[in-house]
Order: sequence, then structure tokens, then C-alpha cells
Amino acid sequence: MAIATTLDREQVAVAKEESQMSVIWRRFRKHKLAVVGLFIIGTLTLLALTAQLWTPYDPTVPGFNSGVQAFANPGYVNPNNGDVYIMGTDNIGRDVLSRLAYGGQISLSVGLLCTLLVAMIGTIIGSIAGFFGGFVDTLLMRIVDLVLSLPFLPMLLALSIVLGPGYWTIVIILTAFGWPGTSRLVRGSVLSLRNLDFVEATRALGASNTRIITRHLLPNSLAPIIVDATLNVGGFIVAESSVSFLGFGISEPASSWGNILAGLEDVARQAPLQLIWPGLLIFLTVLSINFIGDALRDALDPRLKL
Amino acid sequence: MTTYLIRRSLQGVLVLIFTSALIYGLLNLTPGGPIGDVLQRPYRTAAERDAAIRAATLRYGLDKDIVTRYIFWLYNWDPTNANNPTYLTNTLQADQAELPGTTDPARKTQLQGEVAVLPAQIAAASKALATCSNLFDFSNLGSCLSIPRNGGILTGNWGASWKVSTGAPVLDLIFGRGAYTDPSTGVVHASERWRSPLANTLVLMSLSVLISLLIAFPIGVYSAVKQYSATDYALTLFSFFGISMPTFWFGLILYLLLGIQFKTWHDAGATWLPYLPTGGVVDDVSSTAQYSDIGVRVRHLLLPVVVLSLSSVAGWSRFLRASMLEVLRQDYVRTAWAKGLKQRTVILKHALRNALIPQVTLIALAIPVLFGGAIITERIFNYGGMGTLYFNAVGQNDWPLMMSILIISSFLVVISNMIADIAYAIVDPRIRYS
Repeated sequence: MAIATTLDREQVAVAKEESQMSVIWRRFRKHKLAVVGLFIIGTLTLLALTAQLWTPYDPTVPGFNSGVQAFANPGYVNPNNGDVYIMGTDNIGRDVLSRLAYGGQISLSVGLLCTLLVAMIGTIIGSIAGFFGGFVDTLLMRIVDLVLSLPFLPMLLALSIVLGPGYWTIVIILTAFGWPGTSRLVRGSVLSLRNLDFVEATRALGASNTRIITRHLLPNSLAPIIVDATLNVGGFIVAESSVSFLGFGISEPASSWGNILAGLEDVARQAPLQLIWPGLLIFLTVLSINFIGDALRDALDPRLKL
Repeated sequence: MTTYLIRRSLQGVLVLIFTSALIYGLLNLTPGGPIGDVLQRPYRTAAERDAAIRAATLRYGLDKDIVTRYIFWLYNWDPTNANNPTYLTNTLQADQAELPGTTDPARKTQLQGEVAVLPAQIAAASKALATCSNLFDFSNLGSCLSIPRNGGILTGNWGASWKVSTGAPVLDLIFGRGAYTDPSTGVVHASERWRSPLANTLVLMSLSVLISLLIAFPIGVYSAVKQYSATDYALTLFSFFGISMPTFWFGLILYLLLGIQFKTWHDAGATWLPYLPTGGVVDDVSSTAQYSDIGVRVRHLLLPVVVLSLSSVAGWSRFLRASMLEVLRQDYVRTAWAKGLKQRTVILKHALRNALIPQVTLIALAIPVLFGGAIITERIFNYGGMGTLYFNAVGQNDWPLMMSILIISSFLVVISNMIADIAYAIVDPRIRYS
């Protein structure tokens, strides 16, 4: 009996020592595919960030002038100077490996940047709408409805023409179409929390609206926001590469995974293997992100016993 | 419910007005816009350049301010412009501006002819318009309806295409041209509606939606019932792959492998190897017979349908699995099991029917997609549907066509949202709209 009590106390002590982060990490680790995904994302990000250090050739300089063959298959060696092109060359003789690395910088950063902006704007607007209700809520939600009633990809193409294709255009457009979803989510979460007793108690203690929102409501709705943001990264990367693939996104000579694929499309008959790489990178990144999002959803859900 | 419907409809109309104004305003911010190609073109002299730019500006009505143009688009846009005095005046001015700089004799003759005829046309059109200029004057509505006059989308005239098919009414480009008799030759042309971009897209999209549903539902039900089984894990993994696969990459790979590589092998001697056409709606677009040849159509539809179905199968089966799991945990399902009902009855009658309720929304929201088509897939397989039409319109700054497609799409989104809500209330008696 005495032994059992001691054990209980020890367990309680251990549970207290474990921080929230380590609980989440312990639960996250159970999802093996998500851990692999995290590793893949980490590696790709690192490779993309350090592209300036390790890529063998300039990704924007056509190789024509130095006699590099266009559409060369992987492992091509330039007969003039013995340069090796591990992943071959594209339609104007540029090194595909270097282009992929630099393209990774753009594709990954578009995904991350848009996600951050969308999470920020969506959280601010969603919490204002949910907390204050009434006219503010109606107005904000009608704007959300308006944006959501616009056909996504067609509008993306149209706006890209209006603003002129480019990096910041893509970021702005994807953010403009991304925030309504997040703000609806945050609004719902804030709506369900704002009438709970603890909020009432905080108010009775004299807390301001800003304090209630930032210190009490948002921390309690953090889990769905994080999961939503994680899954958004993948969505934005696919959207960016789709638009770039259609020729309305990141434009030459800068590279993104989408426009590399577009550049290789016409040459596919000559070097079909080239098509694999950009698509595979997008696929692996998005797949990893989806696994991570799935694992986070489980790890952050306190009701789920793992 | 009636009150709710009326309120929703009014909100929908407001949303559409705002949307159209927003899109119209945004389009007009495009640098260059429809005269971008005129600005880029090389000219010998500055005067020639100015004349060309002025002619193009007048032709597209860009000399008017944006509000006037938007109102014209709503309610004053003659599709043929034959009865639009403003347009005719613009044309006359443009012709007069272009005439002194023209050296090409054929063009010169044409311009001179137009300049000679236009003043009379302008006078006639102005006279016709004067009797019906007030939008809200209903006293002479009958006489106004009987004369050909200016339009705008509110009168059912959606304008004429600028670039994609210059001068053709936008609605004819989308819905296809109906049967007509050529007035100069007397030849009767059959209706082209059933092989219009919209018809092609409807065939493609409804097939892929149908096939996706037929595959996704059994998968979703099975993996929910056998949760955490090996099959469930395999299907879940498949869903993740399907959701993460970029459409354009999957499409390109299938196109290369089954369309091009198989044909190469086929031609190289492996004659037993079938290969698929690499694009188009039919082998020969000019042959009307091929459009009703099911074999030809199916061969062309196979690849795009597979590409489009993959991601929706993955997504929908996940949705159905989630809602099925939710339902299977309910008390009344446990009661059904406890009563000793057959597995089949419990799953199909008690659980599935309730798990299908949230899917109603999903299916209703697929309606706009049926119309809009799939830009990426249609482009890869060169499929002449709405996606391709829109893609061409964007590339060439064909605003009337873009506006029409975007507005019809937005309209369908609004409508399908309403249908989803109504259908939800019908299948789920717990939901009441007050």
C-alpha cells in the first residue's frame, strides 16, 4: 500500500516536470511518417538555404555560350571543358541541379512567407470578428464570403497579369486568398471560448479586451491555428508551382520548382527523366508537410489519448 | 425557410455585384491591358505610334473612365456594337485618326469606306437610343424592346470577345453557337452547342466527379469500418499521396508515359502496346462525327479523368472516413449492434446514411468546378474546355470573355452554397433556418 502511494507520487512528480513542448514532441514522435517528413523538410530547407555555397553553376546563365548541350540527360559531361552536370541541363543549357536548389529557395520561402502572413492576418481578423460579434462580425464575415466566392485559380491568373508576374505578386495574391479560411477557423474557436466562465472571471478582474484576446482566447485556440498553418504551407507551395507552371508566376530567369517543370515540358520527348525532379521535390515536400500536419493535429489534441 | 431563402438570395445578389465591380476594377489596373500588344509593337514614326494607340484605345473604349465602362458593361454593351453610337463614334474617330498615316492601299480603302458610312449609322443609332435612354422609363418599354439596341449583361448581352475570337459574342464562345443560316451563302449550319467548350468541360468534369465518388465512397466506408487495419493504413497512405501529388506533374508523367513513350515503343515494333492520344477532345476537331463516337471520346477522356480523379478520390475518401468514424461512435449505432442487427444493416442503413449528410455539402460545392473546368489538366492534355478558354482569355487580356467566365463561376459558387445549405436542411431534420 505504502509502495503504491510512493509510486503514484513519483509518477505525478515526473508528469509535472515534463514541459508542454516535450509532451507534444513525445506524442508527435509516435507518427513515424511525420518524423521522416520533418527530416525531409529539414534537409531540403538546409540544401535550399545553402544553395549559394554548394551549387556548381550559376542557375541563370545559359550554357549555350560555353558549348553546353541543351536537354542533356543526367550525368552529362561537357566535352569542351569536362564540366559534369549531375542532373543534366534544361532547354537553354542551364544546370538543372543548380536551378532546383535556387528554385527551392523561392518555392519554400513563398510557402512559408504566405503561411506566416495568412496566419497573422487570419488570426487578427478572426479574433476581432469572433470576440466583438455584431456588426463588425457581420461585415468581416461578408468580406470573407466575398473572397471565398471568387474562383481561386482563375482569379490567381487574372491578378498575376494585373500585378505583373513575380515573387511578391505571388505572395500577395496567395495571402489575399488564404486569410479568409484561417479567419473563419479562428472566429469559430474564439466564439466557442468567449462565453466560458474563465473569460468572464478575467473580465471581472478588470482585464482589457486586448488582454483577454491575446492572453486567454488565442493561446487556447493555438492548436487548430498551428495545424491549419502547417497544412497551408503545402497548399501554397502547390499553388505557387501551379501558377508558375502555367507561366503566370515566378518568371525566368529566376527559377521555382513550378517554372522549371514548365521549361522542361516542351523538351520532355528528348529528356523525359528531367521531368521527374522538380515534381518529385514538390510532391515530397507537400507529402511531408501533410504528414507533419496530421501528426501535429493528434499531438496537440488534449482529448486524444496517445 | 422562405425568409431565409429570400435573405440569402439578396445577399447573393449583393455579393455578385461587389464581385463583378471588384474584378472589373482589378482588370482595369492591368498595365497595358488589351492594348499592351499595340504598345509593344515597333513603329516607324511617333505619329504612327500615336495613331495606332489612339485607335486601339478608342476601339476598346478605354478613353472612358472606369465607372462609365463598368456601367456600360452592366447595362449598355451592344454585343455587335452596330447600334452603339458611342462605339461607332469612337470607331469613326479612330479611323479618321488612322487614315492620314496609312500607306497600305487595301486598308486605306476600307477606312475610307467606313468613314463614309459611319455618320449615317451613328445618327440612326443615336435616334434609336434617344427613345430608350432612360433605364427607369417603363412607358415606352415595348417599343424599346422591339428595336435592336444597346445591351450589357443585365439585358442578357455579355459583350463580344476582344482577342480570343474577335467580335464573336462571348456567350457563343462559352455555350457554342446555335443553329444558324449564313445570310450570304444560305448554308444552314447545325448547332455547335453540344461540342462547345462548356459541353466538353461538363463531360470531362462530371465524369471525373462521378468516378471519384464511386471510388471514394467504398474506400471511405471500408477504412472507417476497419479502422487501424492494414488496409486502412494502406488506403490512408494512398490518400496522402493523392492529396500531395501536384496535378500538373502527375498529368505530365501520364502524358509522357502513356501518350508519347508508349507510342514510341508501339511504332518501334511493339504493335501490341496500346497508346493514348496526347491531347484534344477528339482526334480531328473539324469532324463532327467523331464527337458522337464514344470510342474516340473515351480514349481522349481517359488520361484527364484519371488525373482529375486521383486528388478528389483521396480527399473525399478521407472526408467520408472521418464522418463515418464519427457516426460509428454514436450511441444509436451501438444500440443497433446490441439489437443483433446484421453488420450490413448497421453499416449501410444506420451509419452510412447519416455519414453521408456532410458529403451533401461537398457534392454541392463541386458544381462551380463542373463549369469552370480544370485549367491545369485541360492545358496539359490540350482539352478544349472552359479551362483552356479561360487560359487563352487571360493570356490575351480578353476582358469581356474573362469577366463572363469569372462572373458565371462566382454566380455558381453563390448558388451552390445556397443549394448546399438547403440540401443540408432537407437531409438533416435537426437543422432549421429561421
